[in-house]
Amino acid sequence: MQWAKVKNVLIVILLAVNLFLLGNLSVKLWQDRERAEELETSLRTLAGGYGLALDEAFRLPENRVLPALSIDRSRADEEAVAAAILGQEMERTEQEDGTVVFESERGAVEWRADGSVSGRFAIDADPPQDEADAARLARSLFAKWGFAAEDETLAGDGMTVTLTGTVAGLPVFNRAVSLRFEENGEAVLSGLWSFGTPYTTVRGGDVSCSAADALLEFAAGQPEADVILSMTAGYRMQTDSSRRLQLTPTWKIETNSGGYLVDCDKKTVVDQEN
Amino acid sequence: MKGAQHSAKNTAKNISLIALALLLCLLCAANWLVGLNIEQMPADNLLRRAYDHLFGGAVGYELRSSGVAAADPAQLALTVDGRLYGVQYSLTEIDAGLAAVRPVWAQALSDGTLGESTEEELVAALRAGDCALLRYHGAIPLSAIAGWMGGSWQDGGELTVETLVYAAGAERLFVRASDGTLYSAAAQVEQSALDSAQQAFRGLPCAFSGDAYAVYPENLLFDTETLTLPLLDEVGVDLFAPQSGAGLEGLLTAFGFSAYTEFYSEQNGQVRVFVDNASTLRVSASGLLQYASTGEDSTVYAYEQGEVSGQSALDAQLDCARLILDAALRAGECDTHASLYAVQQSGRQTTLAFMQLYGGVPVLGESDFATFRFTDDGALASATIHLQRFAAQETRRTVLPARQAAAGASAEERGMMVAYRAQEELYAPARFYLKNEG
Repeated sequence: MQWAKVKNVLIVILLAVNLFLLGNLSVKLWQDRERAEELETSLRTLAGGYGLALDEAFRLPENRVLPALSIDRSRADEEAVAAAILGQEMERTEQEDGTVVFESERGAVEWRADGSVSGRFAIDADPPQDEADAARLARSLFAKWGFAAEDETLAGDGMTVTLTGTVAGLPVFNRAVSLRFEENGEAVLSGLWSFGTPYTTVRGGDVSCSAADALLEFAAGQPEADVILSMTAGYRMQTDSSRRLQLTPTWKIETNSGGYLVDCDKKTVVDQEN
Repeated sequence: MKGAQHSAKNTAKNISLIALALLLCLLCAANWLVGLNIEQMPADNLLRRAYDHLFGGAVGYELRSSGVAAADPAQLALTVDGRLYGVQYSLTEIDAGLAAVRPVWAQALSDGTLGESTEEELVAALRAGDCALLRYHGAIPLSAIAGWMGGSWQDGGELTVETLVYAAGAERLFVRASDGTLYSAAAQVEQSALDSAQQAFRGLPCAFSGDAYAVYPENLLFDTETLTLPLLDEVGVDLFAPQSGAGLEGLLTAFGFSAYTEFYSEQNGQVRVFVDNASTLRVSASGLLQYASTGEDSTVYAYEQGEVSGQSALDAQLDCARLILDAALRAGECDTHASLYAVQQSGRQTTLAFMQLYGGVPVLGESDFATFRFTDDGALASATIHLQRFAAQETRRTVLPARQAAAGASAEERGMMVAYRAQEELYAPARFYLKNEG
């Protein structure tokens, strides 16, 4: 009988504590939501002051902390791609600045130290007749040559097909490789690409990506845009002072006049994407 | 009937108690997690990794203890089809060569017991079969080199070495210490690793000097060496130029300051002194950076006190210094590259000295390019960096080939290096002899 009473008291206490914790959690989440909405409203007003409107569907993304990543240049993978395109009978020339040029009877492919690739060569297939045909052919050629990417997407624009993908689970906004089919049976390759898994060190720095800061910096820069459509956190590929390939945390701001890249750390507009 | 009712009530109470206790744990965890700033946790924290997976952070990247080598080799060589091929003094060629031979060195540098060796043993090993050589611009702890190559070396890892030779025929690893003493240890590299390195390695034909000259036997003599390098003009650095703003901010961040840290100006605004309670950073517009902390407290820590020790502590200090140097070189928009060349450990302090390379060739000034002094609790006690910018002239100068230099070497001159030195308002490349510290 006594034990039953103790159980009743315990149930009441647990119920009270749980209700308190649930209330506490709800208040925190509600406050966060309120703050986010308040921030978005303030941003709409501030951006309006710079002559920019935030689209109705625009939602301010969560702030992120992303590690600055490095990628080792892989000359072996570059050579494998060039060999797949040009055949095994190719000549390799390396220039002082790290540019490697591969040449064969079929054409030439050039890889630079910053990861950019360009080339013009003959392909073993008939020129595509339409956009869908070009996308199909490009997909099979990219796979055959060794351009593989996580979450890969192919975008077609006439006879030009562009391959993009994510690295470390996030988009790398300037990492894309395009293939343009020409009527004479040749193809033109261009873009920026990397191979292998990116890495950071235990002591490597994290970069705080504040969406509001980036948006305001962007608006203050008076871009040639009227409406901001969306914002995405990701990376952009660049080389550091020691010519190492780096993935630098970057926001991509989509506007009605194209996409803009804003460096998370420096909070500067680094590039207009298109 | 009453008994059954009582039993059902009791069961319901028990189930409620268990459910409420579980809910309590869940709510406690949720409250704790909401209060945590998981995104600010280090990348190697399990909670952070889980959070990144669930909420769209960066995933699928490697976490390395020491990712980037703080020193670049001056020379690399490998025997291919019975002939020795080498690369030297070119960042591009060294990078490519290193990518090819790294697996060989990862295996050759995987623990062993070093013992003193003789020049005769080395000469015999060089003639015994395929060899690989790795030579640095200065003396680097063996354990650090092993880490950069993907291997590990515990026993005698603090020994600072300049040149490493793996002789496959003799299955021995030879290392030349900074005082000229030669050590060796048994080492083995799988034939498949050697084969793939030989397939990927590209260089110019060369040979070991062996016992033909006064210089050390492992010196590389290239067959047709025409090392032609441009003369360099020094271009002024202006760290306070308006366009250097972001770089200067990055530099301050690297030293643990922010753009809002208080500072005062000296010398008509040409020097800014940033001060906080623990440390002082003196930034000269012309590129001289001097940092000093009280020693007990600092704005820069390579690691938390007691977190790491021994080799890991040195790795963390090297990474910390390298990241600061990267920020400094970016701020000064310098086209040079920092490379570690000396590590001195005395008492509670470790001093790291860096030289600057222009395209892979050292540029030597009157003082060290950069020095960092860390205490054993990971605090940066002092640092000095002399930033310089160079512009290559169209005039080039051919450096005396190593074979000729070796022929002219005296008994005291056992090594050779190519470097830029200041010469009447410009920097000119030349070959220098090195005498060992002993």
